[in-house]
Amino acid sequence: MLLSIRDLKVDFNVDGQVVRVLHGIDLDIEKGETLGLVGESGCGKSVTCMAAMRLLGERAKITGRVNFNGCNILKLSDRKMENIRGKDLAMIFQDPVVSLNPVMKIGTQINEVLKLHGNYTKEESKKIAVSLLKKVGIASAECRLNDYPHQLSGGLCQRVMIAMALAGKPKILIADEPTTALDVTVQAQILELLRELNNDLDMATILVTHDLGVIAENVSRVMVMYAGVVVEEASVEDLFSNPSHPYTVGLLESLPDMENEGKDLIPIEGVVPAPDKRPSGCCFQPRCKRRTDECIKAQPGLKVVGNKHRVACFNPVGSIDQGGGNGRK
Amino acid sequence: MEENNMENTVVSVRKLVKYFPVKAEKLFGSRKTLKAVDNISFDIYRGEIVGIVGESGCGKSTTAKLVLNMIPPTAGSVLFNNKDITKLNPSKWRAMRLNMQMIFQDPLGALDPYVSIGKQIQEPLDIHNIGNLKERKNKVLNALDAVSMQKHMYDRYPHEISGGQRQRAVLARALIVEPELLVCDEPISALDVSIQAQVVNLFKRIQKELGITFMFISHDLRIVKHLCNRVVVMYLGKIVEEADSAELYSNTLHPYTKALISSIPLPKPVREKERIILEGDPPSPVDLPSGCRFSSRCPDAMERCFNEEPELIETGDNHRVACFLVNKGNHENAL
Amino acid sequence: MHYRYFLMKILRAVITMLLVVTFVFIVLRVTGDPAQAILSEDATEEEYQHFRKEWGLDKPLHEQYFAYLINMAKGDFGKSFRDNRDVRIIIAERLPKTIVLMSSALLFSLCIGIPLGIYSALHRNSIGDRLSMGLSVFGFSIPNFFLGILLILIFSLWLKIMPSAGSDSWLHIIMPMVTIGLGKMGSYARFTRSAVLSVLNKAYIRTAVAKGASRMRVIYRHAMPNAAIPIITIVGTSIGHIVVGGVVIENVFAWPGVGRLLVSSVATRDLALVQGVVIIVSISMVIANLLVDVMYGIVDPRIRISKKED
Repeated sequence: MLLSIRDLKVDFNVDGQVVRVLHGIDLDIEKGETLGLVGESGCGKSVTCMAAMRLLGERAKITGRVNFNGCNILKLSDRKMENIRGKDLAMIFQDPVVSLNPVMKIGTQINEVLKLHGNYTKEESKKIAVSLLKKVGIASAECRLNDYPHQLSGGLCQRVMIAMALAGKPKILIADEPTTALDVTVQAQILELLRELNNDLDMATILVTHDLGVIAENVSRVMVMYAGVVVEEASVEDLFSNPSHPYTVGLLESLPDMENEGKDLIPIEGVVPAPDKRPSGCCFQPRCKRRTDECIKAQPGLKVVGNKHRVACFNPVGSIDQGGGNGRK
Repeated sequence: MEENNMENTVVSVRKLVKYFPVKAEKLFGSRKTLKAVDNISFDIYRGEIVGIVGESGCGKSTTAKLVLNMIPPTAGSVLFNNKDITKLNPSKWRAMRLNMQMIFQDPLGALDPYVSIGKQIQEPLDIHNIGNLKERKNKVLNALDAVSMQKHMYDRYPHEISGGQRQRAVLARALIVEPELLVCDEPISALDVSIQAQVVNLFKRIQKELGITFMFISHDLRIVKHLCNRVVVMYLGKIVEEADSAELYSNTLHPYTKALISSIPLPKPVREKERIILEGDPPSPVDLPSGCRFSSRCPDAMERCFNEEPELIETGDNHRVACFLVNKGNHENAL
Repeated sequence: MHYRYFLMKILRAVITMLLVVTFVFIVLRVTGDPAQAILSEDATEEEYQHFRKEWGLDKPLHEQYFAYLINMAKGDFGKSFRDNRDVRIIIAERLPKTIVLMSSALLFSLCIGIPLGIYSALHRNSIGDRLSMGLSVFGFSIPNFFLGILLILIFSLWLKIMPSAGSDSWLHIIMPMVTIGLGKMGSYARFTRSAVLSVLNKAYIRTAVAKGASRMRVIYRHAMPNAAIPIITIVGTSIGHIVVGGVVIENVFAWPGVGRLLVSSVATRDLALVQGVVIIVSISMVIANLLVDVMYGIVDPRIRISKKED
């Protein structure tokens, strides 16, 4: 296992009040695998990634284990963590235009990674930077090195961010909503690029998004998150053909179907609870159509319902039709 | 809707142009213009939801502002109920603009943080002096009900309610003056998926129950297909294709529309059709490519496309398209 | 495209100078008869006419204006009405003292204020942060003439360790420098603190951390250059305050600079000298602002280079 997260909990200190936003996340990713984290805003998908990279700053208290290459990186010294960030674990973000330093040339920003994690001469760095820009599909890469971020479009900025992430030859690339701020035709380009890179390079990818459509074609395994917990985990085929958690089903039903017309959308009523106003029992229970008394009393744990398919629900969809019980064997 | 029935047309946009001046690049260089909207014509019929789609910079938001007469056009006209609103005098326009309401992407920015939701929904009635105080309050409660908000929301403040509720409140405020036309600029883009579905269903219900006409601006083709009766596709200030929703998605003619539809990420692990991936970004509306504006990114571009600009022509079934692949002949059959 | 920004700024500075010179002309010549102001009330009509002729005041206004403009372009400010010495020479005697005082006050406020602000931002809510922000509030809330008098009372009259007036040794400069600089130091410190804090919250800082940059590197390589942009703006606008404050403080400490010259020449109604001082001071402020603009362009590529259209 390349990265294995166990019982990850994150507490934020907001004005002296401690608010828990992650409630014990387990996550595994193997070499070269593509994993999708999906959920609505506030579900904790970004926080999970930021916690694994230790990017949350001093206001966050992180507990649990994040094992990378067999060592718990939460316990590493700051200096050792700096060696892992950008080299083994690289990350790209939602808004590429503001994620690049506005007063630094593109080339300098890429070279910084090479300088931090490698030992190259100036000429070598420049060559590598040009080849990286070419790899992410930027034409006339040599000229672009001298450009500033404000001279580039959003799509180009995201390509530069990806080039920068690739510069350290990472084992895992974490892409946090990489296409949310981009136009749909540009989104298609960037997703295509990420797919290609994952195939070409020996690199695992964690793709964080709120868009089930983006997840469907770009990852092999999916974890659905809700209010700081993982509610369902399955292979991408299983998740879409056989969704088990009522929340996953609800998310799919609230998307317009491109094939069947006139079908009404079935929204999930209510809203995601605020981290400091969580309901008792299952966190989805107030919005759930399959709620029973049991759901109000206790939080269900993840249970296996199929091949590598786990769901945290007392009454998963599909189980009632097959004779009830707490999940299939 | 074959013949443009005057009775049925709420908005009629004719040869509408909006250019913005841009700062000159060189010290004494010539002034450039940003062609945000460049000679577009379309109609909005009573009771329908028209979707305007396109990527950033295509001019869809500018079109919305022009239709609402929030900015003056460089040329062309906007007829609302057969009156050119761009040429009305201020007092006549004031009487008329109640019939056109708008909602925008960011509901929090559209609400005053220090005024309760009920008071804000009531404000248009106060401004235009409609009804007495009791009638106004009743209307507000009805409006809250119409957007599926509970009565106790009346006394809440914007920061106390969720994003979806805020957008409902903005919608209630727009509906309270009983407008004929509601222009919505990306009204659900900032909302979560599950909340989007709630608001989309609400739009559908309001269209059915109140017979309000919608102009719905969005970049999300999934939602547009689901919600709109008719769709106008824009690219760099021009209409490239226009058709009834079902027709547009089943019989797509323009290569840009094809690429847009193909780019939609579907919630299905296996894709049946090969995805069309366009190269590069849309060009700047300041330096437009010669010929067809889409020629620089078009996978099917021919020599002609780089020299001539195709006109929007009717191909039948209320379907209009601006592309030489479809319009092979000369310009005689142009609209 | 780089030079376009700088060229525009220089052009604007030249136009500003022309406006300043014109404004001074209008204020000093048109709002009253200089001859009447300068001559004592019992001067005869003959003396009066002679004075007007000698200084060219009898010519039509536009001729006076063009002659004046030409003289200004030549750098000729005329002769002092009082002792007939060349205004240029009188100002040139005083100017170095003022420049020394102003620039040391500016340097003092920058060299203490900015590091203090950076420290406070990086140790937010620590005791050090609270102390330095307290000092800053004290610095910019106390009126500087009052501070000057206070310093004289404490260090010159009571402790007797500082000279209270003059400019004979380097010791003399300390009290006026602190008096002028302390307020600016306070506002620079507070402003730097908030600029650094807001930059540290930006997405590109997170990117830099995610790249594996150390905390030091993130602060000095990524945060500082971006925080410098608003700081330069605020420093630029405060140069004027320093100059204005300086005029008062030069008088408090009997510092023989241009500020004292201005006050004394107003008192003796020496029109040519007042005009010369005002123009010199204004032009140095225009130049200081031009330098700030140039620095601004150097630091921020978004100002220097416009977006590519391709």
